[in-house]
Amino acid sequence: MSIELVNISKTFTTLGRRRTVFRNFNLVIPKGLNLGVIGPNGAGKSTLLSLLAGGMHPDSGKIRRNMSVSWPIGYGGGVSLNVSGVVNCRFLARLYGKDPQQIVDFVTDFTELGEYMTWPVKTYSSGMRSRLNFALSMAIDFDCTLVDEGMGAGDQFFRTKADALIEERRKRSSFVLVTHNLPEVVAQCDKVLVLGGPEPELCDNVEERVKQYIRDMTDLRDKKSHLLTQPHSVNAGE
Amino acid sequence: MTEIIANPQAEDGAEPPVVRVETAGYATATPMLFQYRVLKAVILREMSQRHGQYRIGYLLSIVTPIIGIAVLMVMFNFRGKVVPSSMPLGVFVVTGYPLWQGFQGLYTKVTAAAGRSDPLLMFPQITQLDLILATIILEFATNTVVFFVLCVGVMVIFHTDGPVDPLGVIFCYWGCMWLGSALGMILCGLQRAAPLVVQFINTFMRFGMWFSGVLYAINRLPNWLWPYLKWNPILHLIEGCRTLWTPSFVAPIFSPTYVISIGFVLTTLGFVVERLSRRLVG
Repeated sequence: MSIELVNISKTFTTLGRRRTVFRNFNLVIPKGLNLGVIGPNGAGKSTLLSLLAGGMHPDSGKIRRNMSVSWPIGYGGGVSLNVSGVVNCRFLARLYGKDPQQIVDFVTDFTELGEYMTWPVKTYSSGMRSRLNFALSMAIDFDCTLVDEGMGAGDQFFRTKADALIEERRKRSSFVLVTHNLPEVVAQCDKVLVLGGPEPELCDNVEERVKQYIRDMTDLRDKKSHLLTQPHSVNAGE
Repeated sequence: MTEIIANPQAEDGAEPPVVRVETAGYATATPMLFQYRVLKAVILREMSQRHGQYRIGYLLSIVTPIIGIAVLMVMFNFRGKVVPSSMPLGVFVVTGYPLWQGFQGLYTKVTAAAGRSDPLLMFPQITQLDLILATIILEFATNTVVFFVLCVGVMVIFHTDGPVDPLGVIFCYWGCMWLGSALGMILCGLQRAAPLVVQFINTFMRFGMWFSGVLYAINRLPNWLWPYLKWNPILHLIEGCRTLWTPSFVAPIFSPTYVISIGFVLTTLGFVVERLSRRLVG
């Protein structure tokens, strides 16, 4: 069971300018692998998640999915604010062919939102929203879970519960974690994919590669700040 | 996840395997059943979102067009003699305004379908076409119920006879919504590639009601205008609807063949543009 990206190319055109994010990119994610994806903003991390999920199609190349893949979880894009938590649960259940009541029960129980589950999501606090979003994403047992920018949610008690569930889920399925939180990558991932360089780089030694990435980023920042702080040279003689 | 598990045209000469669609590893379904499930989920979500926010949300969707019709009738009363003598005011209004509304409602909602529900596109099962189809099905169902209520209401309030050809009347109504859906599909696709074109068409469409026989029957207009107005398929349907309700009213223009041809051309174009835009968006 795996997801295979074979010779993937993806280019975006924004304001008439073409930008290639992936060119003949290959990647295999077997079941059970926890992959961290890091890189500066605009490097193509979220694009990669969308390609893996199937929400976006490559310009060329093939994506072979032999295991179930979640939607990119993390920012709650699929949660409708105008309807209740229960309606959101039912929608997801119908979409994935699950028993709606089972999903409602799991989410209600896990989030402990009680009667708020029947209220429109727009009336929730941000903490309640993130709890709902997290529970919805965990309600379905995917072979591969795609996580965009972390899954932190709720208070300390909820986080402990959530961490335990993630840990339990990670043992039997794959995680592709896109994040700027580098310690999280070191702690949770078996491999790391670094985007933003000349070529995407897949490394087994996560800790060492993350350290290298931090050094690269620091050097880059120093260079930029050096350029910014340099006085403007005006050649008045010419 | 939508994944065709096996390629039916196996190159190595092996026995062609059965094509099935796997959905997140939980249930397998035929592509048709899978599509039905996705559409059902999106339609029910859209219904809850649109009507379920208030206790009387579903009632509002019926009451709002009735209020529109009532306002129009008051306006006609003030304007004096605009309704053909062979037709009661209620029938004239109910065979005009709701048809235009059906067309306009469909084309605006289908145009906005993918944009409005954009976050849903991150679910791999849901495509832009699913959102469009869900909107069309929901609008067709809601509008048909509303139109039925309006027709019965007019017959009761104005003590008029029912339509002579009820099936023809409903076909005219559905025809307007069909054309609206097809135009909406084209504009939905164009929205991403050429938003300015869509804006221009939207501006043009604001005046469409004036050229579609909603506010007057075509025979009230000078004859030299007819050849130009004949291009408008909505005018054909509205005039046809009136003829099919009250045969004593004879529509000078009503060509079902023309309307159906336009409908097929627009629908084909809609599917082509939708597919191209999907490729463009990625």
